[in-house]
Amino acid sequence: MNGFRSIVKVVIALVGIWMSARVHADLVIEITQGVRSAIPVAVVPFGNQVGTNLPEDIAQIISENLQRTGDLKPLTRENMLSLPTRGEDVFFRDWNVLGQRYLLVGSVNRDPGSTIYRVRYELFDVQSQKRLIGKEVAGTEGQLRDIAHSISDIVYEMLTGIPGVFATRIAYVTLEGTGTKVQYKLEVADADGRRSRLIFRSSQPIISPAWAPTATKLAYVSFESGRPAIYVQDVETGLRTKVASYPGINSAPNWSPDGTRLAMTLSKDGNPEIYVLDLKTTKLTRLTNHWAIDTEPSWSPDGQTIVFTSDRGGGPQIYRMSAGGGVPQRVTFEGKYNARARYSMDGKAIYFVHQLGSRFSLAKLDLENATTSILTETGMDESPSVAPNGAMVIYATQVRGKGILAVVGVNSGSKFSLPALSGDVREPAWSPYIKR
Amino acid sequence: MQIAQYKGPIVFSVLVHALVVILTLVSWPSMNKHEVVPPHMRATIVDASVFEKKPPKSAPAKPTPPPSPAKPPEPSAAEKAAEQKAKEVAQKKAEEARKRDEQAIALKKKKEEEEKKRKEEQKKAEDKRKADEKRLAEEKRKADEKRKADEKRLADEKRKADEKRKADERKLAEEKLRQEVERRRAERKQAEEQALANEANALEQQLLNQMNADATGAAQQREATLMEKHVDLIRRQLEESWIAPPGENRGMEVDLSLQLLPSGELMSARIARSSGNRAFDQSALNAANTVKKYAVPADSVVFNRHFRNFTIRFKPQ
Repeated sequence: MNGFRSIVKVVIALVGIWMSARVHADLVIEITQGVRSAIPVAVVPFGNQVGTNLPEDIAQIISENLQRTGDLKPLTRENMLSLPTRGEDVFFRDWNVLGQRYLLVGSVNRDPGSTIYRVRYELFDVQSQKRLIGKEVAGTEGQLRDIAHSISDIVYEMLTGIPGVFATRIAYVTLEGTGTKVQYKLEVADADGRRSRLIFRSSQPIISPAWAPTATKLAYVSFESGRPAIYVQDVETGLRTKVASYPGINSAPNWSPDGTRLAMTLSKDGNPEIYVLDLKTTKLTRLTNHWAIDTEPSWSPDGQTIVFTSDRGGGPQIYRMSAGGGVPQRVTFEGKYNARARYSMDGKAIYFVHQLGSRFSLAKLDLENATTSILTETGMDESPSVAPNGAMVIYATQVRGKGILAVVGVNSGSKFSLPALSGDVREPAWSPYIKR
Repeated sequence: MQIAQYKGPIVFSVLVHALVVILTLVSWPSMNKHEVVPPHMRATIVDASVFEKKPPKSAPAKPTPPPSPAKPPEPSAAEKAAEQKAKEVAQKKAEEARKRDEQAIALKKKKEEEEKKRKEEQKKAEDKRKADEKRLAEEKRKADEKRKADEKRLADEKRKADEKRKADERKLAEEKLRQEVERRRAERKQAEEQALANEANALEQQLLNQMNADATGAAQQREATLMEKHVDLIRRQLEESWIAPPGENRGMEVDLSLQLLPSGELMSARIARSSGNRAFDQSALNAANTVKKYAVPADSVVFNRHFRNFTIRFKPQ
């Protein structure tokens, strides 16, 4: 009897506990929207334990990288209250007062007699005062910039969930000189525009560079022979191949996602049409057959569809068709000029040049719900190229009559001009991730 | 209500008194049987012996024997000497006669005096005897009286002791009965109180239930309003603190378990259900930690029930 009674008591107690636990579990507050602003992060100048001045300011590189995305908002150095170089020296209150959410500190060291630098860094959540990342990377003096980009990538991904693209590259064309002394240069630089290097130079126009998915080769159009031809060049070895030199127009090469084919515009059969060239077999397949101009093809990330520009509707508009051909469907309807489309990385949207009155802007079309949004409004924006993480789009624009490159954050809409590269810059192409 | 409450005790009390009377009437004789309970008797005997020993102590000394009467003087010898003397001195007749006369007179006088003295002494002795007798008698009477008084006192005392004993026994019996009654009454009272307490408990419980039921109405209504208000405030705080990660977040969902202090300060925030996206989870944690003082209700009951531990769900739409 007593046993039974105590069992009953225990059961009642358990039910009570369960009830109270259930009551507590009842309250769930749902947060369906947050602030859509750049995340404040302080990148403190890295400590220098080497003894001599460093050739690179790692924190500065990281800070500019993060700034350019528009997704993060690095604190300017002048506003910092203290300059800790390791977690133990951090006073979180300082950074909290400055409204910072995250804090990156680090230092550079080099063992005596060694040429290898060791860069140690730590990322903290200022609010919870927890360390999110604590790492050390090593490299030569020449790799300090790469190390800075690598740290930028890791920090950016940690805070945004999006892989960083700071270790990727951009290809672009510069134009120098005037009159008969014009020089066209195909160059490749770090994603921040630094460390540019020449790929091909010509006195004749170079246009439409396109990265192979491996990020080791570029396809581009060169007029070096007096008329356009499509070349593929290995950016490391310099090995160069002419892949299309048909009568008429050979232009707008675009790699299939698997890297085996090139979509391009050829007019060898009368008027510009979209073709696909198999690079191994050199077999050419015609995808469009229309009296109007069909050009600027772009492969979807899954390789199933191709978008292109056609004026079959009267003015240039963007159409979509199967990668194997078939009947194109028009996808852009706003405005009288929509051209030069590029697929977003998830394949759900396209970026393109959209004419707004007398201005040319970059626009984004959501293919799922057919909504168009304007990304840039500077006036002469062209040649969008999407970063491999899909978060940024690089494009060419003009400042005081001179062509420059700019980056727009897809999420934030923030724009950032790349540091002045020499000459008139145009035709940017953002590389895929570089596999090492 | 109150009278009704005392109805039981009153009835009980009456019954108990009746029971006492009945028990007194019926049980008293039987209680007398215990009169000869040895302990009481023994006590009495001890007392009695004490009393019996006392009288000899306090009794007067035995009457002294009356003094023997004084011996009468020896007349014969004196007379014989006197006569002899007279005969021897016949010659001196006149002289002697005169002397004899004188002597006779003196003798006679002496004789008379002696007689008188003897008689006086005799009377004195008699008087003394008589006085002694009288004193003796008196003493005897007094002793008798005293003895009688003692006996009477003793008897009285014995009677009184008996009475006292009897009274004591009766008292004891009464006391026993009273105690029994008291005990029974206490038991009954206790039982009644228990019943009353049970009833009160039941009533209280009922009241509590009623109150709880009412709380569903008024108090719970108030609590619900309070809760809604503070849930709204906290949601707004979090929305203002949450920098959602860039890019497409729709479909992502992370649950954080928050532990707050009554002051609204965050004690801990941990991921209860991850979104699978580390940065998204991190943004939620950062937001939760950015709110320095959660807008919790001051009402400690409501706080403890809902806001000490609760879940926040980041679910972009």
